[in-house]
Amino acid sequence: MQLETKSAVCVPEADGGITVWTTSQGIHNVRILLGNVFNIPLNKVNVKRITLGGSFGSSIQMNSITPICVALALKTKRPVKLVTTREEDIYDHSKYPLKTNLKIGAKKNGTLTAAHCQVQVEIGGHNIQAYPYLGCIAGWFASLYKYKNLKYEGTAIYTNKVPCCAMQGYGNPQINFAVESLMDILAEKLDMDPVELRLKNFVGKGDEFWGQGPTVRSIIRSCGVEEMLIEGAKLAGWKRRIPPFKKTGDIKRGIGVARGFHTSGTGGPNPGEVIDYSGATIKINEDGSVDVVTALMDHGGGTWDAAAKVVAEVLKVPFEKVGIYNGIDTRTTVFDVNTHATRGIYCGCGAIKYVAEKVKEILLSYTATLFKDLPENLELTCNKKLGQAIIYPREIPQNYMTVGEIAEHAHITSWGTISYTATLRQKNCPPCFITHFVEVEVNTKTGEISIPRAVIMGDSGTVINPDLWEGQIIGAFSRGLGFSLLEETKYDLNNGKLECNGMITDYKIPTALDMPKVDNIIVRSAHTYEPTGPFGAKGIGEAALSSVGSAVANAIYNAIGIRFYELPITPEKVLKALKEKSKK
Amino acid sequence: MQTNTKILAQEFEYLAPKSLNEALSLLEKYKDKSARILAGGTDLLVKMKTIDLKTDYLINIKNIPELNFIDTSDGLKIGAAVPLFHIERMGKVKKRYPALCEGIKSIAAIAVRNMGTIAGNICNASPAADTVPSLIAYGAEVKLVSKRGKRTVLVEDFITGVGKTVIKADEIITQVNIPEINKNSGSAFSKKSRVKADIAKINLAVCLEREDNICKDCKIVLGSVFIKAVRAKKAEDLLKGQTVSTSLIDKIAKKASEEIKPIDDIRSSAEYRTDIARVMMEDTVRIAWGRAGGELKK
Amino acid sequence: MKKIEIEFTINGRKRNLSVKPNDLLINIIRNDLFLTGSKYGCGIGECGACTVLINGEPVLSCLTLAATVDGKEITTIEGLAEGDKLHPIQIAFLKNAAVQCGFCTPSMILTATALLKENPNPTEDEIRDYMRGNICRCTGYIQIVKAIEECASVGKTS
Repeated sequence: MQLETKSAVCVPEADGGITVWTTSQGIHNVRILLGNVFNIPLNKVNVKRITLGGSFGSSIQMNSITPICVALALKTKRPVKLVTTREEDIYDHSKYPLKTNLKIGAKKNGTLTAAHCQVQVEIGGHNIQAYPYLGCIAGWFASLYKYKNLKYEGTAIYTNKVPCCAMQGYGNPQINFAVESLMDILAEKLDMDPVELRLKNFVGKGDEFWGQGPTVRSIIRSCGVEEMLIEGAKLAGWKRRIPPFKKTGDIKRGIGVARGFHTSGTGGPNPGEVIDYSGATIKINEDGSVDVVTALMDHGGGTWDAAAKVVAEVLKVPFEKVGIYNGIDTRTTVFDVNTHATRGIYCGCGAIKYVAEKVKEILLSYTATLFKDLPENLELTCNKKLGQAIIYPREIPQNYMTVGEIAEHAHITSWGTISYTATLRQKNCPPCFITHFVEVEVNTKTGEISIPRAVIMGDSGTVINPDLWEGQIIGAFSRGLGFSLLEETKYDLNNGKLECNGMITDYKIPTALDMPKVDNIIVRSAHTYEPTGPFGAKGIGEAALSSVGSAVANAIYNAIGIRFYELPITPEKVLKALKEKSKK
Repeated sequence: MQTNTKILAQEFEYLAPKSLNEALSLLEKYKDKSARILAGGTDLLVKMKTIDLKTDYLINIKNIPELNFIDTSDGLKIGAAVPLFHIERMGKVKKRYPALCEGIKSIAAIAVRNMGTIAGNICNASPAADTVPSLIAYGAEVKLVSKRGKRTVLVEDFITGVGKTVIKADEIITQVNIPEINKNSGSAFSKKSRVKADIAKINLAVCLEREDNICKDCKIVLGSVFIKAVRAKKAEDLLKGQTVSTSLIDKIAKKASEEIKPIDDIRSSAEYRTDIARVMMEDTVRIAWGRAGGELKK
Repeated sequence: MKKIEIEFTINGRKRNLSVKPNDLLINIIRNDLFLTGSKYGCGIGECGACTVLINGEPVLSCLTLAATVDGKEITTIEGLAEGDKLHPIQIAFLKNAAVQCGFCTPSMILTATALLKENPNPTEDEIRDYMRGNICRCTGYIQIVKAIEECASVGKTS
């Protein structure tokens, strides 16, 4: 559930074209589809980029409200606005419910030998994502640990229920729950520390890694998993944990660990597997400020800020002088696939960095003619006092020109605008990693679960927006708590209606009171650098969600010695399980 | 899908009487039409949006001065138009009627409590209403007024079923009266829900009167376990006149959980409600006893 | 339906409107007054995204009939800053990265201003409890609570 419901506005244009404003994670996809559906050439279809109130994957595809709005506008020849209600939204999409049968084999020393994974996913009605989804689950499963031998079977089942959509993780949190629960079970059987078992078997630097599916393979070049498990364990007081049978009292505390990852985008070595590219037009304005014209979408996680920082870093222009937020539509931008699959930084900003570097080349090349010198002899740097980027011949810093002066010169002499337009396909989707150490408190008299503390370690390579990076991790933690403790899409199996009737009165999501206290949620970054990412950066978004539920379930086991194989873990289920356990 | 929560589709006449008399005249005039009282609107408007609750006339009573008062001089009298939050934040109420305060505090969110009223909570008559168990435990009454005259009805008798009360079409609740509380009385409220800002899975209020270490009198009321809030009379009988001890509290908690017959619904299960009622009873009776100045023996 | 004439003050400006009995305040604010900071999130009072201040107190505009605001003072998020001068709570929110997608932000900020007026030095638990009716899906609340704490500790109220 995202807080803003979906809307669309369509204005029919005099030339038979359309201008569309709509809730979307990728305006170009919407444009292509609308052109297709309504048989309008794309040069007459303009989709404007607007901000959205949270998405989490629910607006990757063109929302059904959009073509309906366009159809009405074209028929009536008047502008049309449609806004969905919350109940329509709840019926419009839900998260994929996954059933997993998992078997993992290991030697006595803890080395994993094999794994057999069978999944069944109920995809709801008229769903288009089934195959990619099953492929992705194979990827999420296979890339967690070195099983040496593995077998994966996936079945997607259409049912007459709410169509599922790629809610953050696209199956990752679901399969992670199975794998990370089983790793803990295995650790107990082997009488091994769960952290040690993970350290022994994780897929890491130098290992082959399946991106979003078995055909997209690459080698991991940056990996903070070891650091995160070891440091995280220290911060979490992991060594102090007590086995469940030793716990006393009505309120039982437990600690659990789980780790996860997500791909930074959907790039792969071979083109054509998945469409994944972004681009931008970057131009230096006549006063030295910079326009970054890109269709890249920001959900609120700081993608645009990061892109502006990347451009500022390349062109040595102060951050405030980089404009990126406004005036974007499909007409003025090259293709951008979407902000999904945690690709905003690695792919989106990766492409933007590439374009910025081309602009830098042109800038230096032009400036060289002004200095009657060679581009390689020039230095580009940021002068904080002047608040501008400056260029000077190396060793003669006093002979500088500001980028503003250079751009003005290009303008006055009618040389032209210093700009470049291009797209870039990342050939990789390096994993960004996460590790959760979660403490739970189980009230064994009421079954209620609270989360007093959490230590979360993230690996995104270079962290470009530290505060928003942390915000995404904490936000994902709250969403993970929702999925593991509260949220369930229940149907009346007689008539297929949602039990909640589309009202969020009975679809509860976490509030401020359900999180640990401010000082008890500790977020730290690993120290890694991704050589293929913009300034060493990878993503974080969906990684941050992947292992929350797993860690909570493992912590509950540590608290009360009962393992739950189904989420959400509600007080009703806990109390019932405790009763049954005490009967035995 | 029939609903559209973005708008209020129903058409009706809006009336905003400036005095109680004016309101009563309107109620009499429209008593055979679907005329409804609008106070906070937090229940009414939701019903109008989601179940198309038929409304021909909406009478806004928020601006009627006679309904906007809190009188703490003799017991507690609360006008029907007083927002819940105003009651919640009154130190005097918190001190003397903690179960009511706790019940109000447990409702939804601050904005809802700025709008909603205690009379509204009673009239909406949800089995899960959070003010009702405490009001019943205190022996509270509602004052009903119409052009024909006035009457008082115990809250316990006022609500008869899910969304059903004994109010007549031309009547309005003008105030809720809670009797004066003995200084050796103690009361407490507790509630279980999925998240804190939520409708109760089960709620419970206890009010008891202490004499030395004996519970002289008590009322134990559970909500969300029946079509309306119910007194756990068998449990009460076990407690009345007895020396309060831990073992007695355990006994009455068990009795109360046996007395109730909750159902499975979207919020919780019958089994959970039954189990949790016992735990809540133990804790809540203990707190009420402590507030009454009582000590607890084994 | 007979239209109702109402007069009210919104963000310091007096307005006269003719509204239908079933017009909701949220729709009047957004569609007639073009103040789109207040949001529709659920329509039934569960998410808090439509929160505005009426006579300084937070209320849910999706459950408020426009007709009932006659004679009242309304503050929406647009009325908080003084020209270019942001309200201290707005500054604290930006500083603490308490804004991601921004959809819940207007309601969070308005509710927080009411909190700090009622209780200038709330504990963390008091803050979390007061804000429990405002749903955020993006931030996980921690940075929002930090922002409000920062405002409180510096003694900044509305």
